[in-house]
Amino acid sequence: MDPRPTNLTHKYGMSTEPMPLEPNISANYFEQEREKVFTHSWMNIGRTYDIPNPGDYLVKTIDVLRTSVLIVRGRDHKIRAFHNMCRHRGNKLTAPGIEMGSAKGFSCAFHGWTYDPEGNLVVVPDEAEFFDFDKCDNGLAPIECDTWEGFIFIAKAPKESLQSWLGEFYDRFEGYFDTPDYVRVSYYRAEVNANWKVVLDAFVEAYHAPFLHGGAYPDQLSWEDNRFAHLLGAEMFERHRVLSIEGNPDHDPSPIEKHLLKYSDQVFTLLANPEKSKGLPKGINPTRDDKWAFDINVIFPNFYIASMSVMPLVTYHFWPVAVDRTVWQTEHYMFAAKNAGELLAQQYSKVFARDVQREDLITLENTQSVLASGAFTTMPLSDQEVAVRHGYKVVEEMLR
Amino acid sequence: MTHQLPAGYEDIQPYADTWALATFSQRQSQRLASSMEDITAFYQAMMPRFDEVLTHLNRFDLNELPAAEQTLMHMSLSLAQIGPCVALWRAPDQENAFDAERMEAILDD
Repeated sequence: MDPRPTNLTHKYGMSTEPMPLEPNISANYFEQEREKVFTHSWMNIGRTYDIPNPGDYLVKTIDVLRTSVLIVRGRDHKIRAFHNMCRHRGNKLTAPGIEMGSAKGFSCAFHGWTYDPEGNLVVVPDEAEFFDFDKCDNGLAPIECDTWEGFIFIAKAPKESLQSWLGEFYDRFEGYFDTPDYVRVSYYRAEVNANWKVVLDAFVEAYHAPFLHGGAYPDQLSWEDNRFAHLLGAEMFERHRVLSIEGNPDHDPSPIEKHLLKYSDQVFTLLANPEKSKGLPKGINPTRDDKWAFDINVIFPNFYIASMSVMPLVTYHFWPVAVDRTVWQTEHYMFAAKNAGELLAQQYSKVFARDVQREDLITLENTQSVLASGAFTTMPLSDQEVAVRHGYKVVEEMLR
Repeated sequence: MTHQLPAGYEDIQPYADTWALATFSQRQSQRLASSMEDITAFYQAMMPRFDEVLTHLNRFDLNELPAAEQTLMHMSLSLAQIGPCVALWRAPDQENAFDAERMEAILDD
């Protein structure tokens, strides 16, 4: 008998009916998501290790919140987030294209209003000409900000704390991701012409792997013992979800992969790796199976952490722009390369992952381009696509 | 010569001017602009030297590579760039894939 979990859709109390396509093509639905989902959600915008020193800052455009966010580490070392908008006439405080930096303060290029790293207004040129004006009442507009596992989260109008929002995830990783030793070695961003859920859905099931990625993964995810890449584990939480994927223990690596694995134990590939699947926090390889290759942890709504047997951390972000446009972002974190062999393995990982993910992204654009054709209005989902179904259910419940 | 390799690597020296490229986007552009014949020739020249190249480079501090070793490192990174072409795609680029240029490499190293 197949030891892999079955009957997941029923187990998590979901209907097995086909799911409507409307949520991926309706501009009205997208506006409701903006108001009822994203406005109240905690979303990750970077790592605490990106801004280690007072004055270090990040800038993140968040289209779905119709804003740009400025995240700054203050002189008291506290991380704060603000709308990146001058209190005076509304100009953005940072120049176009700037995504990170370090500053003693933020000076608006328009009229020279200047804010300190804690968001207080400290300089207003020709201040006496303003009416009933007090600088103390005119600092930057704050946004809720908190950190977890080395990740910085912001929320525009949260209804609960970050800890409560993370729920089941909060203590699951026991600090595994909260270390400066994981260095960002790869970072891609692409604007994809597809709904954010269409993009996310491609990364929360393994059913497509033997087909779409049959060339990239000739034997890793689909082999005699697991032809259709059935899930090793799955848990659907209130909002979030986890999938575990197994790798073929008898994978035959390509010549270059074989060479790289001699010089580095961190390569982006899918491997059962019994040595590295033990002694981990409860949230990493939660099934405790030797065949474990990686976990997919979806932190609702748009953040995704993968921990793999061959590298500690891969993240994805799915940033809605419009009903049919999404900014997709992925980052690889590894231990810093100590020598040429490890650097080469990092480079190969960066190239290989890019090539595989390009197969996903073109498919998603092709999908979106016909979703509104009216030919079909629903999609049947298999039990292996339980996490896809769960995503729609969570959104639907928040819109009600 | 600007792309001089260390002594003992004369066999792969002819590929240095084309493939010793300093940034990810340069290596990606070279891959996409190359024919499969050129990619295969580079791959077949590099792969038999893989162990020697890495054993040699691993003796150096990554941040203080001498010029010739830096050139060898850049060629090795190009091998990583074209590795999937030979091992998996059997073409300079995949058929029916999202345009590589549309995936912005924010860390272009």
